[in-house]
Amino acid sequence: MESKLRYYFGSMVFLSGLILSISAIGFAIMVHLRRTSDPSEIITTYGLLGVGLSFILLGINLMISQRRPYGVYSNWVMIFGFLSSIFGVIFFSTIFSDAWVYPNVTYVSFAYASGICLLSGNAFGNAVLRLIEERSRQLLETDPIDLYTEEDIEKEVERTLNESLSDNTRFSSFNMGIKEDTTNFVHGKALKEMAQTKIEVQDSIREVECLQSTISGKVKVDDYGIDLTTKMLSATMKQSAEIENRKLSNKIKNKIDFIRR
Amino acid sequence: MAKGLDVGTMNIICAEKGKGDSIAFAQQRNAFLEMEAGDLAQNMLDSAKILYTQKGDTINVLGEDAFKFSNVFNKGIRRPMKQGIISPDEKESIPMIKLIIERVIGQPEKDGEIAYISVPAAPVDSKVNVLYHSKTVEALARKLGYETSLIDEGLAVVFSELGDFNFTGIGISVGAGMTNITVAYLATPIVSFSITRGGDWIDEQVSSATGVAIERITSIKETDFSFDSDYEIGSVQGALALYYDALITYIIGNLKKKLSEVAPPDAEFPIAIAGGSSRAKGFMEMFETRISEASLPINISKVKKNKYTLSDSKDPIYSIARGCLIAALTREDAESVEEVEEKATKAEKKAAAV
Repeated sequence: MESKLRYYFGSMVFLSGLILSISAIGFAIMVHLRRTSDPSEIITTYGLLGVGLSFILLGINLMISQRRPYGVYSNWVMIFGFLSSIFGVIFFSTIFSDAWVYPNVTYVSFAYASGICLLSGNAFGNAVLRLIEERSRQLLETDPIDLYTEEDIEKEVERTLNESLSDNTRFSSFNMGIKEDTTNFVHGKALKEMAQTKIEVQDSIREVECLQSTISGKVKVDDYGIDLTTKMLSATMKQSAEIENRKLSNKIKNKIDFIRR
Repeated sequence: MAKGLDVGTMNIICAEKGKGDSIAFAQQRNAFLEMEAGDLAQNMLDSAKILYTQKGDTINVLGEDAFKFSNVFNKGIRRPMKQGIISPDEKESIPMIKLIIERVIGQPEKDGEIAYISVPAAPVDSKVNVLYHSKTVEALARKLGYETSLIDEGLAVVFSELGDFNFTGIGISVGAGMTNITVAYLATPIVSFSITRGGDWIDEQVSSATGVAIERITSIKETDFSFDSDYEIGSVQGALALYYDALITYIIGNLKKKLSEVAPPDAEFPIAIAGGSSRAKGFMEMFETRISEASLPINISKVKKNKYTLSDSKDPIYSIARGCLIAALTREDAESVEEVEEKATKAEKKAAAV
């Protein structure tokens, strides 16, 4: 069934269910339904109300049901739930009030309750799935992720990391010029003749290599697992790139690109 | 060879690669003392090999000796920098800083030698602008022939101390005039700011509370103070402990406030502390205690102790200069690799043309 047609059909079923339920309530008021009422009045009221509620839930299920792969299970659950609830109502109308005793009451209650639970549960599940689907679609529509290529993102990351060292963004690029010294200081003997004393500390400054790796995006992690996975991933990517290049269509494309250049 | 220069309120330190696996540090106090000129005084200073300059009737004793003379003659020293930047109240500030910078950094081996200079980040608790200071200091080094770059003090601490953590963590430089803080993730600063309180603020507060001269307080703080000891009520050391605690609380409070304004990545952030004012014995332990009580919005893994040892004590004073040197050497390496690659590309192009 086409989804649009299914939606309209579902809404009709929902409306029918609503009319049946309202009719049941109207009938109950009209006949002043109570415990001692005639069995036919009780059967009519509860039969209409039961069928009406089942129709309402069936209508909701039809309106918000999902497509494959969830749809297949959802349809079966909906059909089984509807049949179970209708069976409950029919069974109630046949046995009431002569055989309205244990275990028949249990069968009726179980059949109707399980049917209603299946229908309402299915409707809830479908509604949740639809909400998730809708949100994902909104994100896909609004997120401009497809505007940036992987290369753009890599360049942006590289630029940001480089700026952390150069700090051009935060420090003014203006360079102050200084004229020749005009102060008439006379330097003391020690200031002129003695060299500045220095303290030497043993230090291999291996941070230089680490910083180079960090700002270039190659972070050393000292983790055998990550190293191995990285190598395997690199080899796989290389292999798949080679396979892609070997394809005839790609060869032609590469050729055209080369000619264009 | 690249150099790193830490221009601090109290010390100006230059770091460069020494012989073999070593770093050579050249250090001078960023202070001077004015004395009356005279033949006797000049002869005495010359024979004692004391650094000084003479201008008319006045002699300016430079560096560490200025402090010594100040204690002997009970005379106030003059400081070219105040609260982390060039002092606007001191008319001789720029010539003095120039002299000290020239002394510690020396002439470049070749023109365009790379030098990274530490500068404070913008303060959060003051309207002081650091741009003038940063550009002046840069111009002074540039004048000598260096190819200069500026780096935040906090980031320099991260570069120096947090290499084992992929340069992720919090670098804190507790200096004399300012405290600089940088939160970095993979060598990229997330938050960088400074507060205009440091060792000098402690000295001023203790001095006004106890009535002892600031120079004397500085001397006691540097030589005769430890967090681990018990001191008498009313003693200078007791007041120092109190104001140190206030400073730590203030630093952590501002860090918490700044971190709440950003969304730091979900990673472990170790803390590295450097700077002359963090030299006091027990400072790190006190900081560790306070930070554990603070419940910051990031995951603090540890408070890292500094690696340098001079005599018996760990000395965090060289961290910033070392961080600047690391940044300079990294840039130098990157530039040399680029040069090699450029040459190789040119050679390849030539070969292809032939």
